[in-house]
Amino acid sequence: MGLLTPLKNMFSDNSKIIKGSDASAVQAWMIERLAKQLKKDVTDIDPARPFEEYGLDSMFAVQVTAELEKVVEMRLSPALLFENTCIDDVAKVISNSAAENEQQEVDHEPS
Amino acid sequence: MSQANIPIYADDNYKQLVSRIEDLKDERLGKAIPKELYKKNTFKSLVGFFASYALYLGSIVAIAFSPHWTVTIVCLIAAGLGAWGLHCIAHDCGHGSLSNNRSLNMIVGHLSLIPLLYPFHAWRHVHNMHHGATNNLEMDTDWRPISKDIYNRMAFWDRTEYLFNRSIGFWAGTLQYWWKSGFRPSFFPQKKARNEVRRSILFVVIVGVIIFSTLGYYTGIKGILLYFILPLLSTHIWFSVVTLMHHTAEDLPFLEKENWSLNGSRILLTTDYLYPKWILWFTHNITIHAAHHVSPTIPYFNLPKAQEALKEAYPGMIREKKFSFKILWGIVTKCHFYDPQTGYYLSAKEAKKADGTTQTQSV
Repeated sequence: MGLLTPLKNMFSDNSKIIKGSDASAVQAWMIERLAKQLKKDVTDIDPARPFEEYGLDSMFAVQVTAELEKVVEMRLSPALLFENTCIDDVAKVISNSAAENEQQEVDHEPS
Repeated sequence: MSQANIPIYADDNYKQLVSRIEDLKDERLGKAIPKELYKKNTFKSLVGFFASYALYLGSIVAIAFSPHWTVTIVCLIAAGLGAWGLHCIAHDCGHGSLSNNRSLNMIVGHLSLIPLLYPFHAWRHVHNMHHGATNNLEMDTDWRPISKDIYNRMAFWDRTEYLFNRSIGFWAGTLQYWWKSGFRPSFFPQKKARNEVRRSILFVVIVGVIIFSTLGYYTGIKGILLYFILPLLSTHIWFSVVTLMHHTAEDLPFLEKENWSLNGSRILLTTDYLYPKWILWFTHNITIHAAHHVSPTIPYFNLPKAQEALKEAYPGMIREKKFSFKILWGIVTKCHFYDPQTGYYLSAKEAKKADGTTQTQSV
């Protein structure tokens, strides 16, 4: 079994997941990610402060959106961080979208 | 209806389409299709699977005994039709409409995609993305056009690839799709999907090695080309033509997200194509497509009846056309770029002219 473990790991993704509908969890992840990027403490990040005031560039916005997609397991617009100016707005959009997706899945079932 | 995002030169047809899409936002379209049409019949579906495999393999054997290159070409087209039919069976497997048994769907799906060397789960997941964002200008995964403005800012290679695939190289468009979505687990947001994709890739790599080494050993490079690569390319021609024509037409736009709705996209942003009956049979009704978008779990053999039910419930909403090369020609010569001013398309020539006009104006 020991020999097979590395092979097994190649086919097993263990990345962290949070629920898109949980706005506060999305907010916490975003705060942590921004703090990491800016090399600051999480307490220094204000979720209501516009991204541009932190001096974040478009490359970072695209990169974070791609990472966030995998964390919330949802497809996100590549323009998410351009169309929503702060962490609070992003978390709100994602939780609304997650709720909508759940509703659509219910609606799509034949009855 | 909000008019804020309607393109400034949108015509009445465009406005009517957006208005209808908005009206259908909360409509439960699937209800119009009788319940019995959702019923699966694994035996019936498997008949399609075996028929398509027989056509594919039979055509390859015929290539081996072909007396003349013209016969070889006909056999290659037939092999492509066989493998395209198999793709259509995999399509049903991906939507779970071949059987209620998930493992059987998965096994038949993997086997059906061998001629294309397409990892089944990768195809399944990227196809679901397409269903969730059909003709959404920002999120669709299939044949999504971009504006000339975005194109101008792309790298040279990306520009070449984009324009080639939408014009003279349209027949190879799905090759690019295969390469970009089939072997890249990180393409998929869900962890479960990424793990499934990795397993499908492993399957394809093992099968690919077996096919290439066996063919190479017994038939050499020529055999690999003639019995596998050329049939694969022929399949991609079918794959590209059919998928391009489903949702692209001079008068069928991709929409900005504000004008788009999932339900509306299911019925209004698709063209159903009527092919000769024998082609419809071998392609497992894939071109009866709006009904499939409304309810992807309907097995292929029930799609004609489902289409009739939808036509009755939503008169005038199903776009149905007889396939013609003229329509295909129109698409590959005119539908190159998204035109933000009309909401439809610009050809490369028109876009170049518009670029020139903008530059002159800005001087």
